[in-house]
Amino acid sequence: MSTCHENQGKAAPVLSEQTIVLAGNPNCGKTTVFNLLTGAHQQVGNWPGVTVEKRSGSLQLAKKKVSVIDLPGVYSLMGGGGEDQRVARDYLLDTPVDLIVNIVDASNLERHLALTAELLETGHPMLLIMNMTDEAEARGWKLRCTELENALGIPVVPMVARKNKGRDYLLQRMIEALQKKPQGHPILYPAPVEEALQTLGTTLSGQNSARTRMDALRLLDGSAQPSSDPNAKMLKDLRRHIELISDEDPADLVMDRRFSWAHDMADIALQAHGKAGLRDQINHHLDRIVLNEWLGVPIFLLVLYLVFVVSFSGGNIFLDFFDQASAALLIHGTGHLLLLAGLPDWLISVIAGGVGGGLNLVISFIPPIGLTFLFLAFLDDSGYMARAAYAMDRLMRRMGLPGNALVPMVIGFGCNVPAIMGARIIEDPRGRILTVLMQPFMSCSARLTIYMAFAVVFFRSNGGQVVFALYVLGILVALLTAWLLGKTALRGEAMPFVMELPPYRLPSFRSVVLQSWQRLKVFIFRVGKVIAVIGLVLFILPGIGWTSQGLRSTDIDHSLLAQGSQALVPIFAPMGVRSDNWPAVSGLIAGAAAKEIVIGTLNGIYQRQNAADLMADYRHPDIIGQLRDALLTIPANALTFMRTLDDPLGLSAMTSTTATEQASGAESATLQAIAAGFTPLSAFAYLVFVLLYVPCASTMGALRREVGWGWMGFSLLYGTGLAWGTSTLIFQAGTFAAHPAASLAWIAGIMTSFGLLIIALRIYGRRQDTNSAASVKNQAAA
Amino acid sequence: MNTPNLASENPSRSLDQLPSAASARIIRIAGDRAMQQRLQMLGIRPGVALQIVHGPNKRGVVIQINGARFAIGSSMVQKIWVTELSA
Ligand SMILES: Nc1nc2c(ncn2[C@@H]2O[C@H](COP(=O)(O)OP(=O)(O)O)[C@@H](O)[C@H]2O)c(=O)[nH]1
Ligand SMILES: [Mg+2]
Repeated sequence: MSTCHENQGKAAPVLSEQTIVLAGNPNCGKTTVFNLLTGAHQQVGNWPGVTVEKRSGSLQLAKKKVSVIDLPGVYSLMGGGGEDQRVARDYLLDTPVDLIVNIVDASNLERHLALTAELLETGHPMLLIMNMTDEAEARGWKLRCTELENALGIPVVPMVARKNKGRDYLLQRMIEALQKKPQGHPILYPAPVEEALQTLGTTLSGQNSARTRMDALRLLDGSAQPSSDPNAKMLKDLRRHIELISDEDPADLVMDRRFSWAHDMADIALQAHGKAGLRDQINHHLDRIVLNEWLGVPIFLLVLYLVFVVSFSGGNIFLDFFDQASAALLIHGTGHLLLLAGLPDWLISVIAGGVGGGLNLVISFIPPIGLTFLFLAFLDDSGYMARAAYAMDRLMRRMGLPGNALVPMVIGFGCNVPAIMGARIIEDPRGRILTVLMQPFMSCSARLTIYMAFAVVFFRSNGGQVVFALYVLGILVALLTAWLLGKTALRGEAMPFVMELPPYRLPSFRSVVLQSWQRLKVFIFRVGKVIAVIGLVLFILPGIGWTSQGLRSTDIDHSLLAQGSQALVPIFAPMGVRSDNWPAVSGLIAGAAAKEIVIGTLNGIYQRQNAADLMADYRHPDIIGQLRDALLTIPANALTFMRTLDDPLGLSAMTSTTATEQASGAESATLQAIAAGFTPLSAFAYLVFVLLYVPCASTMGALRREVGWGWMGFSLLYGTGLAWGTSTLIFQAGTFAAHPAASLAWIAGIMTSFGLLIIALRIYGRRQDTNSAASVKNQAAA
Repeated sequence: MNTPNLASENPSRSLDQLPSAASARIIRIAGDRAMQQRLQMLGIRPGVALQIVHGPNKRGVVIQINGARFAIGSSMVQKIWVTELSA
């Protein structure tokens, strides 16, 4: 009974930290309980190799540190679920677990207890939290925890996690359970099933008996395929034998046993003592509106519009503050300190201007992105998201996409990175890949700064329409991409829609804030690293060049940046970039790293050409003054926000030059240079290129994480190719009269390449189809 | 559990043919194994009683089983066979 002999097996345990695992159905309140237990001591990461979010944290229990893992919410461990399910199953069966804390929704007990039956079979010590007892009582149920505790053989703790009710009792019972290791009474199946499990077990090489039993069960109910032909034959015989004796399918026998067990347990635990109250009524009426055949889609679009407006316009209230305050501290303050410390000028420029400047960029994007995460966490916990997905399903299905694909697309208007991560809400892998690949074409807020700078020069009278056209073009390209890939490389149908609609709930403030803060933190660190490095490179490249004496510091016109850009200009010539306009190409190079720095790069080039004294800012920085000014932007921007609620893109600002200049962040020198380097047509073609090519390094990083190197590479090449093709088409069509033969050649060339791409995708898709057909055939034969 | 003889009185039909707000018992779920499994793990399986809370319409149907609500898309609705339970 002591713990010592258990520790002997492990390799030199460092005071062997105990592990508690939270498991339960989706929406049982798992994350709320997790936050309640761990507070700020938590990290968000990924389960190895998959895009399922992993939360882990720690907790002090009886003066010992215990680690807590929040497993993804699943309905069952057996089969029928996606990656989430595999992650949960593998973790529970293959890792040493000291205590499973199974959370169930007391207001929907029977269904939730079906998972409890499976968890008991893992053989780990267990504790049950009856959460949402407030809702159960509102439904007219009385709880009998002691009776359930006796029947299950494990501790049962009633809770209202959202209101922090029951935490102390939970901690006490957890300490107890870690010592006593209650394993409860796992269910037994009808005798023929148990015999079959025994026999199947002998063919399996599970690490432990729970693994073997689970694998045997999954073989028997068809969730897993046998490894060899003799085993397959044996399985077939066993199945037939069971059917013969009991006149029922083995899978049904297993399921029936589990559900009737759950039914009995729920009977023990709940006593009806009143009738359903107000809560059900509210749910019912809300659903009648939200799911209404005509209102469903408009309501969803309205909700998303609000999220978009409030996150990005609302975020703008604080954007200038974050931008200016971090510039004051990180660039000017740091520069000043380094100057006082006596560092050489070039090093100061690199650290303060390069790294500091890069970080400054990331920090200024915290408000809009943080707000998006906040709203999404709120919507997610409120129970609305599942309804929105259902409302949109029919429309999106026509494009071969599941209903919830629209959510990431809208987030993409703000920033493509959270949009790509947001595609995780899509269960079926095909739909998720399609959705992820659409995101780079959604015009993010960083691209807007570039449109603004060009609009003010070339499209003074119709800037709003031009920018709107670019947004629409992005959406169309995204949808066409999904449609095209769905017809060629990723053929198949969106999975039939089946989803639980959780009751509407008021999310807990603490949970929403913690959840979005964790996601924001991941974003800041990942993107911050990339941008700090890029800021550095962009700072060095314009300052050094290749001369007859080797690499030397030079003026900008002979710098590596100029040389590199000039070398690339011919590629962009067909879309209207003139050979003397190399800064435009530099802007695109920088833009591949981050769209936020395109205008900054152009500014930098023209400023350097004017040889501004970069060190002046560091010598006499007025940090206090700058911080004060930064603070003052908040009320000023708040006023603007109130005035422009109906205009989230700020398009009306385009009628005034100064306002647009401010919005784009371009200096007037830059605007003049833009005016000299482009025609309205080539400017528009350039903007189309900006819209469609590589969104930024962070987006590429997110793509690689979510869909792997292969699809990331495809997205990169496809996006850039499409950008170049479309811009060239636009420019050549617009200048057709000047050189009809050349234009015709370009246009024909682009069309042919696109045709070839479609054929290639088709062939790839066919090959995938035959591959999977072959594997299905193998399985069927087995 | 309700009395079983109702099942024999009412013929079975697919879920999309039920009137709105009807109660019914699931008889059979057609379709591939993976989908059956998915439904089963949600507790949507032969033998259980359900109530229609929204639809059926072109989008699909929303049903309630015990305390839980589920939305089922139109392509799946035709594969769930039920007998209506008279109220
Ligand atoms: N009424 C009530 N709501 C709760 C309780 N615990 C959690 N919730 C709410 O239920 C929703 C889902 O909770 P969450 O922790 O995200 O569930 P998860 O999907 O299992 O992680 C949130 O809106 C919570 O605020 C509870 O005890 N009572
Ligand atoms: Mg959760």
